Amino acid sequence: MNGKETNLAGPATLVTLLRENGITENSTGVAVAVNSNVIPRSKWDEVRLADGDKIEVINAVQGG
Amino acid sequence: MNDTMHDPLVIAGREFKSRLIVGTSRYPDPHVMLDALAASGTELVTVSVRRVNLTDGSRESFLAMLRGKYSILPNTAGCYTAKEAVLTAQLAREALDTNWVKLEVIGDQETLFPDVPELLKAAEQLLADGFVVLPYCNDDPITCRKLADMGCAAVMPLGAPIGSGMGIRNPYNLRIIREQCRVPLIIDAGVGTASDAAVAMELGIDGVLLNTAIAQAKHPVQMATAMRLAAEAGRLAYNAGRIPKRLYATASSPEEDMIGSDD
Repeated sequence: MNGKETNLAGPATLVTLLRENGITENSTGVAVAVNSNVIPRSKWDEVRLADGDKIEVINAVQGG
Repeated sequence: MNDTMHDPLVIAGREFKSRLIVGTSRYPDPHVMLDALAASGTELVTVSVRRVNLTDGSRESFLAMLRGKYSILPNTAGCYTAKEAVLTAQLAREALDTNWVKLEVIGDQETLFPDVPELLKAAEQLLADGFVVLPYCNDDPITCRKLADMGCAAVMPLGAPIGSGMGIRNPYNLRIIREQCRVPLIIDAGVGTASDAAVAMELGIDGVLLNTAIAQAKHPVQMATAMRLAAEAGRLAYNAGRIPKRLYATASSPEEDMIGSDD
């Protein structure tokens, strides 16, 4: 997740992992991609995570 | 042009009273940023998207400062390939609820010049995916024309390298680009001081996107005000229609009935 290896206790969906990291469906201004595919927040609970999945969680920062 | 008050910048059917698009980076602090943005008169500000700091709970505060006051234009800064840029734009769309994107695909770190083949590829994919694409590109008439023909909502040639403050280095190319592209043209990058913004406007460029020139000025809020006035002055001068340049003098006072003249 965001370039860091993350260990899961057991089978998990994306929404579980995100919640563990303080991000819920109500968090604004964030977006998530799994293996370079953007996952809309309405689908966060449908995505089952597998070993080696690459998860990116982004938000807006200062930019030009 | 008689009505100087109503001369909006129109991009993809949206009207902006200000011809400035202003970045949100490199200000001394967030308060100066907000004051400078307000002083510039801009209605559209750029942001980047980066990985969330998962250990920092304050992540929503930056966006919250801008929301409700400004339209947000996410960029794909830091992307070196079409693939990275497309994913970044898609993430930005999901996070920020906008299908507008300032598309940057960079060629190298030293010049930050665009990688044109990757840029064209990314633009094509994003347009097909329903984005309103505003590409940062070279001041090359052919590239600009290709981007415009492809369907980009505006084309944004650089005036000089990003953050260089070198101003408008190639006004002659920009004149050609102006004649050849029917979409809005925005000078993106290179503006260093107010006269650069005025020069861009006088060339018939529709808007100016700038960041460092304001953010890193000794007094950012004053510079933001100067940029607003310069863009207004330059646009008015463009609409007013300047006199042609001549090599020799043309007297402005009457040349007849001078004292001491005989028939």
